[in-house]
Formats: sequence, structure tokens, C-alpha cells
Amino acid sequence: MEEKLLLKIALVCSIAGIFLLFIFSNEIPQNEKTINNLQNNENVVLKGKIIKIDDKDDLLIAELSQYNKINVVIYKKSYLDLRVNDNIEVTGTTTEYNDKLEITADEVRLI
Amino acid sequence: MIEFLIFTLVGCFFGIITGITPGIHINLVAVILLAVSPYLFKYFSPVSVACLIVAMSITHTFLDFIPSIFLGAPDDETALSVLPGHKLLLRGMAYEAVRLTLIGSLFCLVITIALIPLLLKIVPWIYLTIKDYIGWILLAVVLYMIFKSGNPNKIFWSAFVFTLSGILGLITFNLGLKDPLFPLFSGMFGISMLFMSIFEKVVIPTQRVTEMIKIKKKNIGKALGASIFSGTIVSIFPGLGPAQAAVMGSQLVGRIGIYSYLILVGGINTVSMLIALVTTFTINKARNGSIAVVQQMLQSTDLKYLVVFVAVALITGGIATFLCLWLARVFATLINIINYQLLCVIIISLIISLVFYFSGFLGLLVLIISTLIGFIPPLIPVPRTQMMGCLLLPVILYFIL
Repeated sequence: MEEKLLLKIALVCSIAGIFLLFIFSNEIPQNEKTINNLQNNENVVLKGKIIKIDDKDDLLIAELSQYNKINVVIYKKSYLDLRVNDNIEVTGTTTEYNDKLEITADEVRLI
Repeated sequence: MIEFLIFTLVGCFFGIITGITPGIHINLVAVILLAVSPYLFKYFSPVSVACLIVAMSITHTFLDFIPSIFLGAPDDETALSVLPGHKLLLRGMAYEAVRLTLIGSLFCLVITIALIPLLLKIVPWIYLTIKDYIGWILLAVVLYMIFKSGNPNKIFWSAFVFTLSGILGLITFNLGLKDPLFPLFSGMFGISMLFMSIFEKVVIPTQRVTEMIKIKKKNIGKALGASIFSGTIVSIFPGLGPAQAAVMGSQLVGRIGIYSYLILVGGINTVSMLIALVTTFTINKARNGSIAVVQQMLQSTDLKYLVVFVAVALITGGIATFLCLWLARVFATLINIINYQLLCVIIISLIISLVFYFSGFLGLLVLIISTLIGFIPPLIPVPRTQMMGCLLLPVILYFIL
């Protein structure tokens, strides 16, 4: 197999990769975080599975799990019919409550 | 997009360092990145750092045959390429040997990526179907490897080398060494061969940068098919890796000659790395140290990440092809200038120092014993692949017992 052919295939690979990255990188929100690397008072997008729901008067506290856990405070005006084991994407702000980080949700959507 | 691209390029740079430096493994760099990730994540997204690790890992699988072939200093993934690579080195064709492994890497990258939609569906099925039988399947492969010569003397020595290596492997994995495979493989496949080169006063002929080797398309197809099949099967299960895939793949295709064999082993590492990504996003198990770090950083198995990593792998594969050919030319030029006996001594010293640094005196002891075992196969002679017993025996016992 000629070296020229190898180099041509390599070039096509790189261009295809850049094209693919160009299309799909927009699908990944730049502020998407994992529970491990959250800081206080930052805007985040976080995904995970609801493992526990605590229904209060005007809000819902959902415990969200990836490999670690975090509480998400969801005001009922943005209330979806959320259930345990639902996978959700939360957009919100991190706050510290009782020395623990939690997320106050601005937007919640089922995924 | 720009951030992902920049991190991909940085990953390629790290991959060059890990690829051409014996003893510096991608897992080591990945773990260091994980350790500093809280600091990195203040400024960059976890996906970008994960792109760096994926790019480094793919670049590494393209380049790690260069030290294995030119210097006889393999890691666990390239151990079985040392002997055929060394044969071509002694014919002045080391550059061509690297080019053959590159054909395997590049084509396996493209084909495996094309197969990913299918793999996403069948990997979970394969895992569930054969996970209870993998030990027995491996045992059958080993018995076939031992008995296939039909010569009672060779069968005895093959079984002896396999068992001896297996016992050493079992002991080594229970010593609690940081990187147990490094002294094991360096001794069996690296230092033993380098010592023999010194004793036999091997003179390395002038290395030519040529394109003389022509291989039948049928054999290239066989080698690539075996790479993808064995690399996929082996990478789905814990404890198995490219080395076992190389053994399995070579048994599958039979005699294909050393040229095609180099394509086969060249492709397996790349397949293995890509399948580790697929298993992470399908059965939630990363079968590779550096991909496990990616999984830990992302803590998500959303398929859109996989698409981004596939894009990174394609970009990296293209860049790594250029890098591999260029670095192989540099090595081919340098090895013509350097005194090979002296180079062997320097590499042996480097490996000993690295083993001592990472694994202490116990690591050195393993290195000495594995080197002594490494002398046996060429003296009998039996295939060096029997020394893969050091990995296969512990894995078989793990699955069967």
C-alpha cells in the first residue's frame, strides 16, 4: 500500500472529523458540568437520574444522581410530572445550603 | 468547537510523548490529569479535557510501535510486535515495519468507526451472551496454541514456558506493584531480546526509507478483519487486552506472514481503544485505564459525547498518521548514526531505572525473572507468544474459578 494513499486517507479522516466536530460540538453545552466539579454560584447544565423526590408546599427537591448525588430545588411553577428514575437535564445555579451544594433549577426537561 | 480542537492537538502532543517513550503509559498521564481536574475544570469543560485524553490515547496507539520496533522496548500492547519488527529491523526495513502497523491502525480506526452504530447494538448482546464462557474460550485458545505444533518436545516446552510465565504473572499481580505489566513485558519481550542482540553482537544494517513491501489485498483484508474481530471481542471483557487479542487474531487467520501480522497487531490497539469508548457508552464499563478516566470525568453516558469522541478520534488518526511516518523516518535516520550495542545498553538502563522508579526492588526482581524466562523461547525454540501465559493464566483462573 502506497504511502501517498495512506496520507490521503489520513487527510480525509481529519477533515471528516473536523466536520463531525463542527456539527456535534454545538450539541454539548459549554457549561455542562458533572456533580464532581461544581463550584458555588455558577450557572450549570447537569444531567442525571432522579433517585428521590421530596414534595414540599411550593417546591420539589429531587435528589439527582450520576455517580455522586446532589439536591435540585425545583419551584413548582416549572413543575413537570417528575418521578423517581426519570432522567432529567437541569439548567440552573449552584448555591450552598447547610454546607452542601445544591442546584436551584431554572429549567428542567426530561431526557 | 475551537476549545475541543485545541485540546485534541494538545492530546496529540501528549500522545507523541507517551507513544515514543518506553515506560511512559497513557494511563499515567490520564491519572495525573484526573488528579488536577478540579483545577482544570475551573477554566475548561470536562468534555475538552476528555477530548485531550481520547486524542492522546489514539495517537499513542499509532506511535507506540516505533520504540517497540526500532528499540525493542515494548509496552504491554506492542509486546508481540517486537519479534517480527526486530526481524525487519535486521533487514534494514524497520521503517516499513512501522508503516505496516500504521496501515493496521489507520484502517482499523476507519472501519471500527464505521461499525460503531452496529457495535452499539451488538456489544451489550455479546457481553451478556459470552461473559460466562470467556474463561473456557480462552482455555481452548491456549490449549490450541500449545498443541498445534504436534511435536511432543515442542508441546512440552510450550506448556512449560506458558505455565512458568503464568505462575510469574500470578505472583506479580499479587505483589501490589503500581504497574505490574511494565516489568513483566519489558523483561520477557524487551530486555531479553536486547541482551541477545548484545551477546550476538548484532549489527543493525542501514535502515532504508522505502516502500518495497507489497502485500496481497486478501491478506490485508484478513489481517484487518482479525484485528477488528479479536480486538472487539477481547475489549468487551475485563482483564483482557490487545495482547490477548493479538494471540487470538493470529490463531484465527493462521499463517499470514510477518508483514500481514504487523498490520494485525498494529490495528488491534486502535480497535481496543475505540471499543473501550463503545463499552463505556453501552454497558457502562470502561475497559481501558485512560477511558475509565474519561468516564469518571464526564459521569454521563449520553451518546452525543461518543459522537464528539469519534470526531476527535478521526482528527487524531489523520494527524497521527503524518506524525508516525515522520517519526519513523527520524528514528530510521538516527539508528543509522547511533552505535546499536550502546543503544541497547542505554535502553536496558532506562527500563531498569523506570521499573525501579515505578515499582521499586520488587519490580526489579520481577524484571530479572521475566528476562530469564524471555531467554527460553528463542533457545528451544518455541513461539514467544507462549509467554503471554503471564496474562492469560491469571485471566483464565479469574473467569473459571
